[in-house]
Amino acid sequence: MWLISDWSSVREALAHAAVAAQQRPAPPFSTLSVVEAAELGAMAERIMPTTETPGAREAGVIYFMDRALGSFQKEALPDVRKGVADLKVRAVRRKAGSSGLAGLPPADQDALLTEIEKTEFFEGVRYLTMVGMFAKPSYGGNRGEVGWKLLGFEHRPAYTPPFGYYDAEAAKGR
Amino acid sequence: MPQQASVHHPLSSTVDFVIVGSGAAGGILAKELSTAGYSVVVLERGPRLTPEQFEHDEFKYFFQNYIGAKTPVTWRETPSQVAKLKKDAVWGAHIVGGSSVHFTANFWRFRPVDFNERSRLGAIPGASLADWPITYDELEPYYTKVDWEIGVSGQAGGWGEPRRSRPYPVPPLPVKSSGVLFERATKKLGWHPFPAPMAILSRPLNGRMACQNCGFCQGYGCEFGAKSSTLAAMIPLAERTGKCEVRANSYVRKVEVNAAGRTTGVIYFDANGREQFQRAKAVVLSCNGAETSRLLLMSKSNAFPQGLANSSGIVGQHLMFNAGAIVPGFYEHPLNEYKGAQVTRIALDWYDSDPKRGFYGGGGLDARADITLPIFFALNGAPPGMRNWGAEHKRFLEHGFTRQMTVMAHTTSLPVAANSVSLDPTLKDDHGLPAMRITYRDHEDDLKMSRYLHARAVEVHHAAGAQQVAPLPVEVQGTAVHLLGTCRMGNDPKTSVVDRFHRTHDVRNLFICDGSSLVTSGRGQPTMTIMALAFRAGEKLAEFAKRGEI
Repeated sequence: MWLISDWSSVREALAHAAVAAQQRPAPPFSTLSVVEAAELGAMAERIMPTTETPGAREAGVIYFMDRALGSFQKEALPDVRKGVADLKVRAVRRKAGSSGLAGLPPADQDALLTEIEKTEFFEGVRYLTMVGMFAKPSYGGNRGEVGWKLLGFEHRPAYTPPFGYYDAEAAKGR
Repeated sequence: MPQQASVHHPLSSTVDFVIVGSGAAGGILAKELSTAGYSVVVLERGPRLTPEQFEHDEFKYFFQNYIGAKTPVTWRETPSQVAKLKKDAVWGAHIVGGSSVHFTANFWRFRPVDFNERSRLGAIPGASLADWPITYDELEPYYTKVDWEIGVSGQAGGWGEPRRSRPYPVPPLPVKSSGVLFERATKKLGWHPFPAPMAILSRPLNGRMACQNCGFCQGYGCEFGAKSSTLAAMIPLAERTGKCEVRANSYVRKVEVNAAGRTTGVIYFDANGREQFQRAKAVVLSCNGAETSRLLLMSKSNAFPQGLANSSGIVGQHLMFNAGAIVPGFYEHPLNEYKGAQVTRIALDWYDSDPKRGFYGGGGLDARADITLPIFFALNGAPPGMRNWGAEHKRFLEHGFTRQMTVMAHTTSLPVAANSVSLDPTLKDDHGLPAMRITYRDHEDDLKMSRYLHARAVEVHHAAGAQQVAPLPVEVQGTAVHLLGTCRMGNDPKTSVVDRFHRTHDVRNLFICDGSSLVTSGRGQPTMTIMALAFRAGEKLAEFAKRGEI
């Protein structure tokens, strides 16, 4: 069980969350607290980072997670909350006074996540990140189909051959 | 095919046949028996979906298991262990049409050797290999019925093909990049690839439309009705007779037997969870190779203390999954394997068991789009040893998604008595019925055969010019897709559950036809044979009914 007992740390977390929120439109979350959203969002953004191509941030993965954890993945919420609390403990160990993962520089974030990458919590967040990135946009993530575009997945209702390079080549040779 | 308003058989009436399960076997039996003029009620545990409900939604169908099997499963490797709850351990479908709705549609016929291997090879230590009471030649006309009435695409004359009385009704599906690469490589290696027989229509047939190459086959229902499920191909014909009612959301918990040792019908939970009794002159179980045994074991009574039709004590035993291997590889150019049916080329050069290999077993290879839908690929596509998150992984996804194909091996499972379906002693489902307990450890020869073809699959990728090959290790199986052998057919009531006509040895008007009837596992693609058995059983059961022998 994760309880907010120390207002000053929350204030700091909120500040970090506000910074993170500047980079995206920020409608209110319906299930996650601002702090939880900042932490899970930071995780998602390291799992599928924004590089020269869009990542979890642009896909709106955190909004998918908010929706998932309030509905069809509801049973995972208590464990996710425990995991977020643990993230903070580990972040403080890494940098005294840290508010959590979201407040660390990316290299430290990656190091911390490498520490926990075999945990069920990490695997659960990785799962939600990939689903939020690549499921139908109607689930709240994969905004503008950025996930599908990243992969080269056309998602059309039907296709006609040739489908790929090698069958096209074979058809030409015939 | 338009849906017809179906007849309603009131519960107060006694129908000729109640069929439990509407899948590969149940759907065909419903059509055969109703067109022969008999009144039929089909009780299907799952819902009835309309074609427009079969969305291209990977999360819903694959990850939320929307049409998936609902029975809780506990799992262990050996009988001395305590089985533990295992989620998503059995990949079935609870829906009208059963697993034929979501199957991949590989439709290999069994070959003559599958029916008489015990006689040809002798006993195999640690297994109960047996001959079938029927031969390939006896089943051939019914394989042909499957080709034409269910709808199979293919090209006659594939390597080692047994006698067929008619060609395929429609030609093979368009070859994919995986098929082109596979064909090129296997030929280079001296093998004999050919177009995969698939239960997906390449041309319109029987009023159904052809495949649109959408790619959502393996694990999905087909909104075009081009995939040859019994929902698309059989159930509309059954309902059109005005004799057959398919009752969805009906979960059978017990087969009832009277003092004379005859079944009188089945008890089931209806859509509202209320218990109902459907009376019938004869009961047919087609619940699949695991659920049929579970239902028999749940139907025990004073007269049948070991479970119904289980005087042999072997109900649930000899469970076979088929073994195999999965070898993904990556190529220079995009293949876009997510488009089109899963498989377009196969090779069966290793079909027969070969003493030179030093172990029992046989099988084949196919090239397929196994993990090419986005979520699954993102979660599982990383080659062993690669970190599955972060910037490097993201670059891998961007490059690899369109460039991947899998060479998959499909092989024999030996019937082993300890491999079984039984009732879990403690865990219950949400109706208070015992969970399904699976005990399974592949026979050593099955693992050896898998490893043998695993090596061949790696060779195929190299010969095809793969830039990277990322084989998954061959391990003892921990999930089930094919469910075979648990009520096997035979002439001897001590070593089999049903006779050569699918009548249980113990109860004269109780019949079983589904994957549980299979005596051997074939080489990996059992549904074609389950369907052929169902056409044959339908014909025989109609004859029995006509002669008053039910």
